[in-house]
Amino acid sequence: MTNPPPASGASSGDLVKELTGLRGQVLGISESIVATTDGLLVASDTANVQPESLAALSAASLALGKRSAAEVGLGSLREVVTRCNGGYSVVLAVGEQALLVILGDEGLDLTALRREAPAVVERLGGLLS
Amino acid sequence: MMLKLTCLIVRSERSQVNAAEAALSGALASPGVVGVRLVDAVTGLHYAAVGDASAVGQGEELAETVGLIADRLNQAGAVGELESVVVTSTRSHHITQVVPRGQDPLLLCAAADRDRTNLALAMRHMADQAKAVLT
Amino acid sequence: MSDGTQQQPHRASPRNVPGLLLSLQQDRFSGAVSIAGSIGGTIHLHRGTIRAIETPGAPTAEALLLKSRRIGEPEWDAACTAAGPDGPLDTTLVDQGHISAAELEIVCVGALYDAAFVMALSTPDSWQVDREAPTPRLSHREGTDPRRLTEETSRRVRLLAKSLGSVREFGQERVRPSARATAGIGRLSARYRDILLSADGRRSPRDIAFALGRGVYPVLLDISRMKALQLIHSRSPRSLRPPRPALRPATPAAEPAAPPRPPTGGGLPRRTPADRRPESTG
Repeated sequence: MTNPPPASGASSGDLVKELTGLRGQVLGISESIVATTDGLLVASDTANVQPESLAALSAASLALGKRSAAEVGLGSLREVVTRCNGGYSVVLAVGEQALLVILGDEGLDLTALRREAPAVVERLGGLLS
Repeated sequence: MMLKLTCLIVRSERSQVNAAEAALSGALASPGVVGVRLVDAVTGLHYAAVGDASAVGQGEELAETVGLIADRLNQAGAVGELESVVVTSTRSHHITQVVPRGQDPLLLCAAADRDRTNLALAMRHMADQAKAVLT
Repeated sequence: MSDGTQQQPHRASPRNVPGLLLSLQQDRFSGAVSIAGSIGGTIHLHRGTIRAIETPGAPTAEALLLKSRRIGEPEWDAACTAAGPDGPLDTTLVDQGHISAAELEIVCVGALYDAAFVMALSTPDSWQVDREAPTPRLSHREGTDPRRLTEETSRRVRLLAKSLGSVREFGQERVRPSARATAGIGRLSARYRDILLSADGRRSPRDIAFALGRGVYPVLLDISRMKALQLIHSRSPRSLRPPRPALRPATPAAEPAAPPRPPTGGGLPRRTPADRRPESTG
């Protein structure tokens, strides 16, 4: 699959390696992408979903989440979890300008994801800056 | 009638009713059938039994045997899904009826005394039971 | 503790979960045991017998019914609404005619055994007992005997080990159809065909089970038979290990031309009025 040109200094392959690495660490992750907060796709580890569509929708979801959190005074947004009959979508901010989207099946290990994601988010942030 | 009453008494002594076993209540009605077992067709996991279950055999062996037969038939070119298997020995008939459902199928297996059983009737009975067991 | 939980971060050896379950059976314990490990999970007990097991490693009864489309989503949602969040979903599903009591019981029992099998593939680190934990909405009402469960679980692991070697390691492999399978897929049984269509090289047997709405153990049984029939390839996910932190420079030949760097710094692609693209409708 084609990925848009990533940040200079990091190859698209490095970003995708982080995504596939996380998929190997946490049970239930099916696909994932990195996108900008503008909704542009940066890197993807996907098979069935349309990564560009997911990037745009997830950016909107994160923006809405941030806005809601600010509105109700709950502090900084950590994640947006969309839970469906057939699985999960989890959106995490990567710095101020990017985001990580994880799609999982019904058995997604959210506990393990919350344990493993921070390090991945930090490395992604480093790769993108 | 006496046999039915005894079964009811036994059941009321158990703390809870096993729904799968209740679904097999008519399975022994066919003359000659001594035991009926309901198992998972892939894993062989035992779900319910009535009568002399040991005469029917273990679930894992039943599932493995049926799976082997289905694979071999498929390799030989047979088309369609396996419906039933009958094994006849000198003293008994062993009838296995596949019960299709939304998940992996089940196997409804019966052991019958050969000299007391009309095989065609018993197979008809098992086919009917297989249709009824999950409804 | 006053909230009903007991913290027992106990260093457990692999054989201790069966021992724990037997002692809970003797105590006629009701509540939940949460087990931490590489494949952790929660075991729900009622008076010492096991009603349900939840683990990320295997589909729950709910996941099985929905994913296999045995019960459609509109029917499911209607039953959930009718039963209420704490109400008897299982009775409601039966009363509304979506599934028989016998079939529902069978699905719950199957899911319970499947979860126990998958958890047995990992070494537990510790466990925690919680008397107040609510039981999942779908569970085996009659309760499964822990001894039968652990015996069957051991039997399953031994059986699969004969054909797959380390079941735990094989469980992490990614499976793909062989060329032979792809060529002859039309002639295969529906179950084998569905597995092959689901085996995209990214999915482990557990992932395939979730994708098909089937149990992990039956999928592994089918995969082991398909392996013997040379219908399936598997590879260990070495490429999925976490990468080293060091950055590697991009090779200019491999990458298309980078977009002009925005003056504000950072190298992320940015929207400009010129390249604003319409959202795909996919």
